[in-house]
Amino acid sequence: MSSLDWLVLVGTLGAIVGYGVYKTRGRQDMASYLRGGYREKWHTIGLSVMATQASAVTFLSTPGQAFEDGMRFVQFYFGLPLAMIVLSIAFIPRYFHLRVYTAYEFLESRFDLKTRQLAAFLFLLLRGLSAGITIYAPAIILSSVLGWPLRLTCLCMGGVVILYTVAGGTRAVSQTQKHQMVVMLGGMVVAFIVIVVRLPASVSLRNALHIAGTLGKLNIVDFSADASRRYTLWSGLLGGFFLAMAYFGTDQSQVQRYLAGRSITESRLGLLFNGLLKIPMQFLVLLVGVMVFVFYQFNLPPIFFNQPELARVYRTPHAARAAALERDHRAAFAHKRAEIERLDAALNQHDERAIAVAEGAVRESEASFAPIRGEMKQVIATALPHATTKDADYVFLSFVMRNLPRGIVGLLLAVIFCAAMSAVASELSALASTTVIDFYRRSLRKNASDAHYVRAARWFTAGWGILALLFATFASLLDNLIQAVNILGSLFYGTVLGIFAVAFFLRRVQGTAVFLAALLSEALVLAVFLRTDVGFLWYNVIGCAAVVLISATATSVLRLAQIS
Amino acid sequence: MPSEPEFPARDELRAAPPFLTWTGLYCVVAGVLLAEILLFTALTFVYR
Repeated sequence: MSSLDWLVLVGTLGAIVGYGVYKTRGRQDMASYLRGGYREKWHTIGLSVMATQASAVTFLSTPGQAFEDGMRFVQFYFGLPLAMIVLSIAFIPRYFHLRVYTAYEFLESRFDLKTRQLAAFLFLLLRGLSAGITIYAPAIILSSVLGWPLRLTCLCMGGVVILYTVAGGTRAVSQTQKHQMVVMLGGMVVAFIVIVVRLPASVSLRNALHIAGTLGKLNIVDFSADASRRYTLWSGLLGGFFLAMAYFGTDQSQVQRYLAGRSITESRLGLLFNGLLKIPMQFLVLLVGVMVFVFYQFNLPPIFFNQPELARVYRTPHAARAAALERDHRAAFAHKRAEIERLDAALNQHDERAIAVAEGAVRESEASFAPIRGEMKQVIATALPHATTKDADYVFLSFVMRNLPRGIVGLLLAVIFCAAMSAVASELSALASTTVIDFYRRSLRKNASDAHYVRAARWFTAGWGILALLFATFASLLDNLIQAVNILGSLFYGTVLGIFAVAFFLRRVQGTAVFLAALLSEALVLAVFLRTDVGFLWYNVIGCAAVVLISATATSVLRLAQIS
Repeated sequence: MPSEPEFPARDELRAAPPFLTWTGLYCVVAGVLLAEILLFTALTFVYR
């Protein structure tokens, strides 16, 4: 990395963190530390909500996903704008009127303490584990590609976040996120422009899209009704709606963002802003991945994007096989590139017949080119049995480091660091709030002073941060646990949303009925997970619907029994 | 730190947004989603 890149990276991160700490200097009480003092305007809330959701993995993995699988992932977000509307109408007014610090406080006012603490406990469990992953996942990629020590990368990312979150509380989180989000969006726009400019002069944006479409990368909308397909229009609209309702309506890391609004109006506008901007943002990130794919139709791509892993293969007895595959890869690429250039020329001449012929030839050449990468993955798996052969997460960073100009590399690394820091900061702040408000103040230390709870919140923020850092440091030893954490989230969100849905919309249902319904629904979701191949987005629908139906039925049966 | 502002009043629920009405804003958000789905569908079919 050049000095200019270091300057851009350190300067951007330092300026943002410094600004956040400066804005939140001075003594704080509970309302300002945990709820941001009801000061934030809608644009800060909107950007903060977006920054909380956009972790570093969004900017590392999503372009790689588009590179491998096309743009269908954008459908995952189709339900989000509709969820923002429902949350604005139903959830925000209730949270504001009850003056809650956490979403789970509302459950006690509506049901009872056990339901509140069940939901809060599930949140602490899921978010506590995922905070470590939020640090570890980008750190492993950054350390591999940049050659930085893994533990130092985790420490740099996590340490800075812990410092400013402990110092400034939720307001520091919102203030830094506002600028982090601007850097993230700006960085991706710059990346898109630079990639398009770096394509050969004859390749217009329209031609680039045509080439991507010919090779199946612009498969944005899928109307299939097959429930086992992960991303379709229907799973995105329905499953995505329930997931967004659960995440934005009941996950404290998001609820805390809009509870900081200076009024109900500002919080509602912030969520609607998120509803308007989220899909275009994800579309842009995926489109960057597709443009990287097009770039690599004219420039030789690495046969395997995790280059340090590939280098290790050359130190094993499988080196000769790897070298032979690399030669095949170069030859197949040269043939495919010639066909792509023929298609580009036909597109520029608007010769429909030549375009159709060239498209067929391009698809054929891709069919002989792509399997070589697959073969190399098999060689890697044989040579290095513990290595991961999935390299999609390395595509974008590897591209940035090899092909983008000085300064832009630093900016895009700042994007990745900003994303990691913003997501972790929200998680730590929310974990501390929930621990203090739903357990410490509610059940352990009921009548202490405001200053005492602020001190406790600072300690809990630091404690959760250190736990996340430890988890990130040792996560490499626990690969299966990481996978389990990712699955765990989708398994529990539907049930938690169901509890909130009953709380908001079924006035007759009381605490015990919903508590038992939640336990039964969770068992049902686990059975679906273990016994079927239903896509994970549907778990949110099933869990939520089961809680609503079981609790409503149980309430009706109990009433009938009482009457009879 | 300056003193905290008052907690939002209950009748703020009925406060109008600074532009359009709430119903109008919700229609804009839903309308933009519909337009995006139509655009993405068109892109899918044009470039395949």
